[in-house]
Amino acid sequence: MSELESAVLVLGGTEAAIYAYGLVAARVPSGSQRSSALSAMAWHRTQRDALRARITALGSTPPAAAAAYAPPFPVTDAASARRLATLVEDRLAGQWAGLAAASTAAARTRDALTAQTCATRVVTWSGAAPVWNGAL
Amino acid sequence: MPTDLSRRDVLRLGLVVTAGAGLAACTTASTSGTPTQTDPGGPEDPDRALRAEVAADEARLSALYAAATKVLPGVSATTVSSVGQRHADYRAAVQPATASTSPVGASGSTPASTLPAVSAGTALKVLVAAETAAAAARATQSARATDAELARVIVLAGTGAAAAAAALSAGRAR
Repeated sequence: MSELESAVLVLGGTEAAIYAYGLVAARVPSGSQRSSALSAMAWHRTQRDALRARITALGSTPPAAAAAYAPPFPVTDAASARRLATLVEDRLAGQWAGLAAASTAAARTRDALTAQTCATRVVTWSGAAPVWNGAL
Repeated sequence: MPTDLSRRDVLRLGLVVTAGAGLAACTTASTSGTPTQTDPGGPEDPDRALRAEVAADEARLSALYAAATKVLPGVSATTVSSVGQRHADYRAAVQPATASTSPVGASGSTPASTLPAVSAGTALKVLVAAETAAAAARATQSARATDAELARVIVLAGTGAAAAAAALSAGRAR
């Protein structure tokens, strides 16, 4: 897959993530989780804008976002909202890794670090908590 | 946030990590569409040194996890061990069996096989630091890869390291 094709793929995933975080923010409790959702949404918007510029620089026209995205399962409460956030970040981590692989060396490190940010959010939203806290 | 982290949870988190490695282990074709003309890790492979470097780093991390689990109690050791298992997968993915196994990593050191007698908390902190350093290293190492598929695997190794550092840090924070 070329850098352009990968960038378009990531852009689609990013647009979906922005939409998804709107759903997530509406379902998670106010406070730190909602703040995290809105912060993530803003971060993905920044990535979206950069991706659109990148696609343009690669000689193509960025595709427009869909008006709406259908979540793969009903988002009816905080738990399903967190599951959705986990899913979109997990997918995006892989997509950014694919873009990194297709990128030039100069862009690759930056794309790799972006993938890492998504992967870290997978941990956050999946509710990873310790079973080894008693050891500390 | 939920507060239970089962081994299944940890393995699920590892999807970011292991899916790429598994796929990578099954192919030698570049994602740019240009088949790799040389044996990965072989004498003609331009990425030979990089493969050896990353493999040695992953081996060192595996050894560190093995040492850490010895000082962690029961279920904690099992969980942490499952987090660290992927390092063996990535080592295998970046350096096929035919390649050199010279155990020299990015820092020039050999893989650690022991961890000094430390507390469980210190062991976890050591793992967090090691995973954090590995995440940064993989991001820069990926830029040196000639083969796009190798680059993707190294990037995924970095995402896994970042996720592991976050998960282990969450454990430390409680």
